[in-house]
Amino acid sequence: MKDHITVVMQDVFGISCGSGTAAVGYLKEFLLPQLQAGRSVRFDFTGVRVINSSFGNALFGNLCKMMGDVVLERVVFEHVRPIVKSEISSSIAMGLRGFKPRGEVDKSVTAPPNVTHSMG
Amino acid sequence: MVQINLNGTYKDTSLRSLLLQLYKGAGCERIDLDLSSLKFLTSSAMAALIGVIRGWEHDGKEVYIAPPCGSSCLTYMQRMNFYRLFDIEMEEPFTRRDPSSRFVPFECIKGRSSDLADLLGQQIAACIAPEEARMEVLFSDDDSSQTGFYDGIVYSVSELVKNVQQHSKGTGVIGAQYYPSTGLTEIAIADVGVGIHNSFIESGSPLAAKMKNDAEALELAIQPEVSSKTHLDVIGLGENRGVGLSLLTWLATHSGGSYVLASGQGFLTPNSVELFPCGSFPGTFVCMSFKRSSFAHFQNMLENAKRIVLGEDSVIPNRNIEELFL
Repeated sequence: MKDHITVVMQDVFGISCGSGTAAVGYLKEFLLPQLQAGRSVRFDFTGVRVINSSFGNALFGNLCKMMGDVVLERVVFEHVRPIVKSEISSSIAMGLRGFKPRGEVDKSVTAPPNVTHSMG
Repeated sequence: MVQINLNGTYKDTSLRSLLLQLYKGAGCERIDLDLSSLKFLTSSAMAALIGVIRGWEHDGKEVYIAPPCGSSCLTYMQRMNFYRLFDIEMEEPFTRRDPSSRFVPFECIKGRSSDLADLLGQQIAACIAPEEARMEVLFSDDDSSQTGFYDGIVYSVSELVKNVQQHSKGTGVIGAQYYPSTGLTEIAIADVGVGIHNSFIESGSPLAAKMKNDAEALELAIQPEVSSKTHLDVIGLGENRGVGLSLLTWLATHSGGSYVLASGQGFLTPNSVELFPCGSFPGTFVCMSFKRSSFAHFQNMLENAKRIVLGEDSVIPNRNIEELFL
């Protein structure tokens, strides 16, 4: 089993990522289970032009809010435009602000079967 | 029955007087809206007008609209889809064509399609961006000032549309216009949803207790990390952190532009907040203007906005976040 995966963001969310709802769904159904299984994630932003605050918060903010800064040992971002990088950075920062140190990954969040995703 | 006459010119700086005139229709079953003496109205004023009329119709009022006599004003309203939105058929003495980087006719925002905010953002950016910016976006992958313009518009529109989708139970309209004489790009959006104050109340937000009326709700809505949805933390996964309007209002004023928000009886500009004594906006109205030239530096402005509005310096202890980006 691979110990890391690559998420091609454009394939999953398009060239501008604006749906917090879609991001939350992806986080719950695919991303958290992967991280819970001990894998690292490389987010490939090739082709993505913009993400908005709702999307950034829903995906990266919530991730950091749930797992704390330990999750940053297992994620990297590549091919990121400056405006996207800015949104990712602030989402991470605000997520970490909300992190409760006692918090483990929420065990109630489990991956349902038949998750659609893009893996490199 | 009440007759409301709009005459002269209405723009973002005269939205207050426009709304006060329109609010005379409150409580009336039939409204005759006389636009025959209307000289001109900007996209922001048109959005406000569309929002109020849609609210009247939503409430079952009879609305009759006498069109402007001035051909340029009438033509502009037709080009911006004013009459189409109300299913009013009129002969158009012109050929619809590429707006040539000047305006985006009003379109409806319906539902919560995940792609809608992105699509509208791209359409508006593609339309009001200078030609060279469009070419850069199509043929280049670098981060020049021109692509910064495009990205800045997409970002701003996406934030605005997302707000309508998340907080409005109704539908909205959005349009945009670039004014060469001032160098300002104006984006206006109006919905006939529940309004900002009611959105806080209906979602059960604890913040609802902190606001007594629509004006206070507007003031709170542009504060960072305040949203009617931020408390909805289902299994730790909220999808809104309530920063979109905070950042956009900061960006608008610091780019040489401005903003106007109206919801219910509340009315907010950078310099004033007001509670209208009678009449109210049937949902939420947001107008933002940005200096087109400022979009060349949008990335820097956004970084500044985050540092100042959100206080994001030194929030990631013991880690250089740059290391995460390859």
